[in-house]
Amino acid sequence: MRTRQRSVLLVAAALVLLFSQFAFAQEAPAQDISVLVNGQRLSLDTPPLLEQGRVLVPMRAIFEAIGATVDWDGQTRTVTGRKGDVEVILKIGDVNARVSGRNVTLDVAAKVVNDRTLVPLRFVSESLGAAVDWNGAAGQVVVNTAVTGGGELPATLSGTLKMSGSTSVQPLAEELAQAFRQKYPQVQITITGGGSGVGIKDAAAGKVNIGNASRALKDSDPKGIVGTTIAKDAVVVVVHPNNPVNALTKQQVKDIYTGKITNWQAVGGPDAPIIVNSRTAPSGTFDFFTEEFLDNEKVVATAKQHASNGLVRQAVAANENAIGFISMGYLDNTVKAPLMDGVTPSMENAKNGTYHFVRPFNMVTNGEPTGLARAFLEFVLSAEGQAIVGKEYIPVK
Amino acid sequence: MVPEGSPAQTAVAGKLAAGKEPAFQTVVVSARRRSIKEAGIEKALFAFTILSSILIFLIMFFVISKAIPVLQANGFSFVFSGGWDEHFVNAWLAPAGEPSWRFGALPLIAGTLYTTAGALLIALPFGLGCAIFLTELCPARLRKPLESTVRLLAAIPSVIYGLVGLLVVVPLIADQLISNELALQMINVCALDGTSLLAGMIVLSMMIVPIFIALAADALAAVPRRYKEASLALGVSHWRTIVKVMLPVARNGILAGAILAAGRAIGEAIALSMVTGSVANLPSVRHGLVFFLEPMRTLASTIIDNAEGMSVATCEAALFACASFLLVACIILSLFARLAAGGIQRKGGAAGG
Amino acid sequence: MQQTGITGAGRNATGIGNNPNNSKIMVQDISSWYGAQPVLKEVSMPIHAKSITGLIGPSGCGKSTFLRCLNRLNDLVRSFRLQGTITLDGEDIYHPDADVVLVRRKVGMVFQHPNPFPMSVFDNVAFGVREHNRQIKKRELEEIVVESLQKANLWEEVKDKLQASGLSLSGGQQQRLCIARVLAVMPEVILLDEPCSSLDPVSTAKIEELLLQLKNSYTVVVVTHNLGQARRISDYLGFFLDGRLVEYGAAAEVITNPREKATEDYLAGNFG
Repeated sequence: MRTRQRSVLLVAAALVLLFSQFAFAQEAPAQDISVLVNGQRLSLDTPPLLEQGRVLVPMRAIFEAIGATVDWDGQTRTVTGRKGDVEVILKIGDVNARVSGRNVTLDVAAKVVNDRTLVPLRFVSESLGAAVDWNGAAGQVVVNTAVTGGGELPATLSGTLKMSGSTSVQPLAEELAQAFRQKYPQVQITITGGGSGVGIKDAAAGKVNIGNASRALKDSDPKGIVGTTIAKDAVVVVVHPNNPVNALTKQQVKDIYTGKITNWQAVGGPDAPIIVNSRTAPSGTFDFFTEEFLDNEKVVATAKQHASNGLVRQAVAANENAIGFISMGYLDNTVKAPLMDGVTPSMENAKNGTYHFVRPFNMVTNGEPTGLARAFLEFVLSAEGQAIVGKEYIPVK
Repeated sequence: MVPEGSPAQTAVAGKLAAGKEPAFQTVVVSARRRSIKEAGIEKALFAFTILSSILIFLIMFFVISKAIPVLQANGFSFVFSGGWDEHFVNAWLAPAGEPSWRFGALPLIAGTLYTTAGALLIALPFGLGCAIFLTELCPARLRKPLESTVRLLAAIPSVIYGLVGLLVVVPLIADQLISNELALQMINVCALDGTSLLAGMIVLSMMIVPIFIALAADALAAVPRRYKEASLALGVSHWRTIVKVMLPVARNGILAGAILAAGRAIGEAIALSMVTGSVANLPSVRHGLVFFLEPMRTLASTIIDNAEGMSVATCEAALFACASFLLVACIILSLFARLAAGGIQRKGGAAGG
Repeated sequence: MQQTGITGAGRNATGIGNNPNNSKIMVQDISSWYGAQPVLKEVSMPIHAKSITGLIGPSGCGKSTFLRCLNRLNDLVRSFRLQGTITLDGEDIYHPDADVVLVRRKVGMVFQHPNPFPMSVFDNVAFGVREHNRQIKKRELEEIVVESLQKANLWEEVKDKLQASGLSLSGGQQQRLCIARVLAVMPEVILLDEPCSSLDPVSTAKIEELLLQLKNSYTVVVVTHNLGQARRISDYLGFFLDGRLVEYGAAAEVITNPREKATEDYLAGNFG
């Protein structure tokens, strides 16, 4: 009886998996595209548009986000953006554009939708000196203006580089620091934890050169900080290895975490209570989880609040009825990650965009990065740095 | 025969000195030099004392001034209402323009009192028994190794106790005391998974018992031999001598040990945050014995667990409010210690030793 | 058996066996050690009932250790070892079946330095009584306390401050309080270890007077450093030197006509 149930379940899961692969083989629908500029989510009143593999976004939002001024001439239907001595001129419906007096031909022209002028994101950003990463499958665009990863690295460097912040980012930061020190043995690097909030606060206060944050920056964060997105990481829902539940949907996870479902029976498990494990509010992982899994609804009051990924994993590993969420980097065989909406939560699926629950890792500086911090970030965004990122996380290039 | 420093002795010394003029002067000069040196040391010590008390007041002022916005915004409801976890999330996620100042710390304050009282209830009788065994009953060759073991235990960092609690005590409670039915029945109130008030009490008592044993044993060992001998010589048995003579005489020292232990218990954060379930739940006596199985969190654990929230002004103030409650608790504790010690001295005269 | 022990000890002590039937305690051939260090060497001696036995000798001669053998207070010292027998009313107090607590109830002790408990005057005296009879009535207890304080010649001085701390009394009063404490438990023998060594002459005189009263009802053994005191109060006198009982006999005889050269030298103040 039991085995038959299980095999039926397996077949069902396989089918779901198959279909989902087909479904996500197409490019992401345009409304799912999110744009991250310097670690902060671009707030848009009109959703980005996907046309011939190019992303179009409202012009004012993007120009201002990357620190450019923008003029709109209604008469000639011309957009003029300026940053420093670079000038970009676009005409609605015209594939011919000008960058600092030079003629450029675009794949897709600027256009007007719902009274909003949309401009091609990559062309505008790159023309004004920003680096753009467009993961079409995952529907995410990352724009870094401060550091592009294309800069020349100096031959020698010395001094001390201090970092603090997210425990999710910390293992990656340590590996990157090790590689950086092999290049520049005279550089000393210290990395401490404390959480995303601490990293951002320390960076803003000048206590560290770089603050690590495992979430997008927010309006409520201190002013004057500049984020650079260096990697992306998946967040995974985990249960005890003995738990027979092998697949969950986002809706089920939401119902569990908001207290609507309290018994494993309701999601195909045994007649046992669900022990909900959460993170403390200030963690980047919690932020991301409430946004993406709970649609900003409140976590149930009986949820246990843990201060780190490791503690959540431990709590789940210790109790057969527990559920929790952790950074994918912390996934090991002491816990089990059920299929999420039919998708295996794996690094591969996160990279190819079939697994959605992916968040940015940001390195935050007080103002534009300078000196050692700039050199380090250039290294992190270089091909070599991104190769290190790619071993366990999703690179942004 | 003549007691030291008696008038007779001084007179003799004076005569001797008068006979040898230069020797007398040398004595005076070196005494004066020494007294100048001693005065200097005394002044320095006085300055250090003043400095450290100023520092304590500065810390108190700093902590309480940081807490004031939250205390003002909530008034007594900070102490008498719950909902901390939800309030903290609200405060953390609040937009910059409209901060959320609502906090209720009742479960944290009650949790701190419950764990501390529970741990003392376990640790004091057990520790006193161990201290009596160590100083009075234990075979001579076992005493030294046992004493060093106790002192070693007192020096173990709290996170180790937390780990032991997490790997041994919590699963034991989960397996032995919590049935699936009970957990199901309680799931809408709180999640029973072994992390609990009981686990906190046990781990905390393990942590404070060595320090209490060490101090109580010292206090017992410092009881003047003459009291013990007097009692035994009256034909009072060893055990009754311990209970009726030695313990009362050592009461000051034992009480000091208990207060130090209570101080450590109140301020303990890491170990408790690992074993008590890390949720601002107020265990309710209306649930009967389940009271002890409910998860909870103390003030100190909350400060540690939510420290990341410091970057938001409201969260920071709320955590400082928790800290100021801990500070006040410690001040009350030491005042209480002073009162108790004073009471003993009034009652029994200068309780020797 | 008893007789043999006495003759055996006759080598270095005299006057033993004058009145063996009258002896409350018989000490037979005891030797003792602290670890490997010998303290007492083959000491034999009777202690006569209702009399004062004085023990004298230079510091470190073993007289205090001897005294503490009589109520087994040396048992507290872990390295202490004893050979020989001590009988109290014919019962061996070191017998494995002997009840040490009972021995100490019968053989009370007053120490060199006054050591009242840090309790009230009343409680100091009542302590032992309460411990021996926990169901005692309050009236009865009060009677015993008053009577004991009276016997110790202290009642008139403390009757208005029974609730004051015992430690608030003067040194001489404290020592008499300690004696009252011992009297309250109704012992048969009272041991006193240099009871006046830390007291002034007036207090000393009071204690001596008290001891002379007490010997009518109790057997008293006093260790003293003060030869004058030994002369004034002792009925029997034992002289210890280097762990041995050099001379023993009726006090008057030992003082006026010592048999041993060492005793004579000590009494003359040549050493000690």
